Amino acid sequence: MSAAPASRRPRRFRVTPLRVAAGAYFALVAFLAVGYILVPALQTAGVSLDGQGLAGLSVYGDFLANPVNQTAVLNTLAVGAASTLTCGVVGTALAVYVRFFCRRHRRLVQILLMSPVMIPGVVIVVAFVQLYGESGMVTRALGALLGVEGPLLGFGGFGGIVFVITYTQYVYFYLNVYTALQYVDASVVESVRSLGGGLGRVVRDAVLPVVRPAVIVSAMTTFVSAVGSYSAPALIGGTYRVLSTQIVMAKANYDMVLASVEVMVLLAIGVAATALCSGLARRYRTTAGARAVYWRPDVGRSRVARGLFTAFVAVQLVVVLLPVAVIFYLSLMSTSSIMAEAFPTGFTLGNYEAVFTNPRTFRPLGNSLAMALMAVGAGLLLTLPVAYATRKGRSLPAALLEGLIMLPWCMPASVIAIDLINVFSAPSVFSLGRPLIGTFEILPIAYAVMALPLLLSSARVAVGGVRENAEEAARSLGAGPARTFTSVVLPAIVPGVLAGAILAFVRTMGEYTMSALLYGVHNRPISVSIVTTMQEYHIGVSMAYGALVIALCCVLLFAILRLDAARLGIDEVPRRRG
Amino acid sequence: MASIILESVTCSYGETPVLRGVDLVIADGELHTVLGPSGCGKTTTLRLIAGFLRPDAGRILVDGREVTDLPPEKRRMGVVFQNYALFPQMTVAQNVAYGLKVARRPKAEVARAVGEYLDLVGLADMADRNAMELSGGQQQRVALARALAPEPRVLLLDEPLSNLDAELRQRMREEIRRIQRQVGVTTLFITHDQQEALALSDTVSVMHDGAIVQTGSPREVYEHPADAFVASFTGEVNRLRGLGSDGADLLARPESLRLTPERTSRTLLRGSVAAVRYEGFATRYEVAPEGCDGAASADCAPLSVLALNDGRAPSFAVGDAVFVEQAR
Repeated sequence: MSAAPASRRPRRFRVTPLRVAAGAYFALVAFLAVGYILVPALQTAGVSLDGQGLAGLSVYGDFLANPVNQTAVLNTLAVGAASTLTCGVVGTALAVYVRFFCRRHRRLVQILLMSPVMIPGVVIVVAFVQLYGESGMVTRALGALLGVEGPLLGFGGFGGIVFVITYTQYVYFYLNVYTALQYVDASVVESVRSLGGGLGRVVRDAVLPVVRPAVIVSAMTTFVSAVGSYSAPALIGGTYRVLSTQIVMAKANYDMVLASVEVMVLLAIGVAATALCSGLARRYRTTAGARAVYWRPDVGRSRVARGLFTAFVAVQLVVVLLPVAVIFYLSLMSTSSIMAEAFPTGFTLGNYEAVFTNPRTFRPLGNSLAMALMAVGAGLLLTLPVAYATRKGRSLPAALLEGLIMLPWCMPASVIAIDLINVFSAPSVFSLGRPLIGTFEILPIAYAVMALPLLLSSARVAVGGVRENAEEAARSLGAGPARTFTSVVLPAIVPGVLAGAILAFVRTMGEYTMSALLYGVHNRPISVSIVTTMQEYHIGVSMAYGALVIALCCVLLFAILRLDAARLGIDEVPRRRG
Repeated sequence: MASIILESVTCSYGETPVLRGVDLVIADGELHTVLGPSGCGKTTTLRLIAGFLRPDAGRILVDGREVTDLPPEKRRMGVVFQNYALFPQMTVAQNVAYGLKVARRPKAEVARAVGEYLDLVGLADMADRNAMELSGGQQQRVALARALAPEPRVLLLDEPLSNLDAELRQRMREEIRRIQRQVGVTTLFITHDQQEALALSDTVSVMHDGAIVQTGSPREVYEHPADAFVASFTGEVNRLRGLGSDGADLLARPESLRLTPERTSRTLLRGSVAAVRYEGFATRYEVAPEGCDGAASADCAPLSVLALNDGRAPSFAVGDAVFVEQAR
């Protein structure tokens, strides 16, 4: 403690143009984050109290006392719990298969299994309706086969919702568990065995501790997504009430107090689940050993297990891929043929012609492309610099800003939409004094809010991947901050950032819930048109829309595969070897 | 080429002081090693000189000019990092060319310098390989060539050998010494490996707890350590209580002690051989000082004595009574 600094050098703070620009930029990001995320959320809380302050809490009492609402809340929880369970079983089984049993065409199987990430849920739901709905192809085929009149499959209600959610959302479990299985340490497994442990012990003591955090995180993501899901209950749920459909109904009836109360209850469910799972994930957190080695047991030799697994995965692949095939097939059939025949045969290109030659029919596609580009572009501008600026630890204000940007992560889409309606149906300082509801901008804004957490986290991962000291090396070789960024940082982060942006773009293209709540005459998006054209019996056009979206998504999927295959779990994580 | 002077430089991370007033003079053209245990502040010292950190107080001068507030890109210092920090998206040649391109040197000169420095580090035939395909030792050489190519005033090496295996480390050590001599650049070498520091340097500064405790030639530092810390950190040492001048403790290296069967005028103490270990080029004896039967005080710690197996030293067996004297 000898030479304590007697006079501390005041760290010189010079005002440079870069610093001024950075300050202005962060002020703008903070302004927007507060205006479009925090204030709307608080406004919804206020509206839900019906303008009575804390006395308004009685609104919640009344709400929960009503049996209709009780049913909706319980149904929502039931759908969440059941979907999480089925996704867990399906996703985990697929992960185990691909990791340990899949020998041939492994990369192809992985890509196909990941496809639901890249295909918008609403398209899949519409396809399921065409397959298993009352007049769906499979339903009619079964009926014809067995000579039964009337619908044979009771596709719809609780079972239908859970089925659809399972096959659109199992990828969280699949991807996380698959990734975690790669981190199982062979030397730990060998230690268990050499100490006398059998297969049970290996699973319990070497595999489970590594996989458990992945399961917890997947369960959280799946549950939050399932309780907030709207397209499945809206399109195939029939009379089965859940909160998200109730919210849309209340909004359609201009009952914003009821809609806000329902949003708050849904949000509470989401936040409670997130908090519970984060706590569990922290408790079971694991770190890899110093010199972890791949574990690749030779269990694939068991013929019975392998045969059973292969059959199981084949069925899964059919269930996942059949809707896609059906959409492409039906998009080439005339609507009259689809309506009349069990297996439509009226081939036509008229549906595509209608989309591309009729400006009215083309507009939704053009709208969605434009709005998705705007939303992802804005999202990148708002998140990438934040991720870069906070790469070496963050100050308290920066941490708060990042927390705010990540907030929409635990907000179902209907929550985001109702929040925005509550603030921007009237003039607001955050929209420069004009109402936004009914304008074109409101949807790109909502899409951007939804995309922020994904974009920020992928930007963070990408920035974190810049080699330690590479920036300092460039500086010591004479490059200034700008040159260092463009020549060293940018080339390293572009693939990861682009992959995240593509994923966000695809999700935006297929977003249905907010779209249905916020669209107007100026910005009708393709997801809404897919549903309305189907409901108006222009089924062929609806299928052509779906096919175009899927085709676009497939192109983008291959772009991601080239950029960042590890993101889709397809490449092995780079590992230290013993 | 340049000289570097640090004047009572202090630095802290948050509330934790890391450097408590470092004074350091690195002469023009010398290879100067800062040696110290991990966490003593040696890497912080290098980062301050490179300009990645700013000191809380004190000054840093290069060739007599203060550079304390200069950003790293204006300092012209080549840095070789522990993890090499090569640019992964570039080839070997592009890595080496980077600093020259930033300095807007003419194309022909860049090409010539890249060839020259790749030659110098023995990687001329690897120019078009991706930097990440190379082995650790090769990446190390690329990092060295990249740092040297723009002809920096100073070369800063931050534990450059610690990620290499033992044999390669030895070879690279010789290589760095050769290249440094050939280029003649003032070099600061950071390490926690005392052998490396002694074998490589013109001057060694031993750092402890955020301050330099001794600076001198390798021989000075090893043979006349300023204190017990320097003595024990630069090699194995015996501490003989009260046997130094004016009753201070005497610090003696195992190889500087000698065993004799009879008392001589230079005998320091009497004891008995507690253990004998044959180590090939030498034999190591552990000697329990007399009158210490089983006592566990610091005064009674067994002495370690190293005798060269050159056929001249007498050999002893466990239990023999011996006298310990200083060889020099």
